[in-house]
Amino acid sequence: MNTYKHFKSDLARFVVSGKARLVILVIMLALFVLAAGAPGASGGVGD
Amino acid sequence: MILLTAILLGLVSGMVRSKLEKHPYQAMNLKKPGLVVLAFLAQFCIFQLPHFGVTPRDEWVAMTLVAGQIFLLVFTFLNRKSPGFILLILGTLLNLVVMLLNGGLMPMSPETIAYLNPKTSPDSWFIGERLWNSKNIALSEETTRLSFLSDRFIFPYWLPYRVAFSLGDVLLSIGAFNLFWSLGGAPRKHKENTNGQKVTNHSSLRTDWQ
Repeated sequence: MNTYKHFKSDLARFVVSGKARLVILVIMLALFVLAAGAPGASGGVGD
Repeated sequence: MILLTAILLGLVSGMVRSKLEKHPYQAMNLKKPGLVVLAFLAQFCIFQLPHFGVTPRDEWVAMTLVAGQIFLLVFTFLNRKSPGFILLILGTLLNLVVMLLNGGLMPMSPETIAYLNPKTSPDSWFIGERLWNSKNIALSEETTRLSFLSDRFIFPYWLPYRVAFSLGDVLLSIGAFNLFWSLGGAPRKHKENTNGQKVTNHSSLRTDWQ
């Protein structure tokens, strides 16, 4: 139970941290260019 | 892959910049990121259908792509004050315009298709039809509306990487690079809104990589 509580608080701390925001930003921009760009150029969906 | 490479290059060069200029590398909040997820998932689902034995009609694919581009355009517009987003707006808009004018798919000329797929039989695709399970439609230069916005740019022949990309993709790449590069610069000063309260910007979201 304690381990779960530790995990939960660690996760909560990570989510509000700047690092997590940067990770989310990178993921969002990657999804954005995969959806917005040409298939060959983005290497993404529809390639 | 040039678009993902632009993100990676922007991220690395932005972090190097932050080290050199002795600023912490920053992060920022995006407005309405759900629009990006929605656009991506819609495209992902429609392109996965053939793997489950369902071939979507070209009209469905075109509608999904155009709807996705509109979501992305709204997303970029909502985030227009963030660095690089003006270029992301322009790139998305150019790709959307050329797709709308050419049946909802990104046009590609027969010459470009032949260059990118030298080992593929020319009988496997037809002019005026969607190119296999892709976002592209095969159209000759003469019949393409605003052909200068289509997937017509290629790398020099001596590069082993063969892809075609559009002017919109170039702007998207520069915009993505610019965004991640700027996060390594000096933190923006706090601005005050009309009530005299400090407005939070990305300077308050430092990642403390250093």
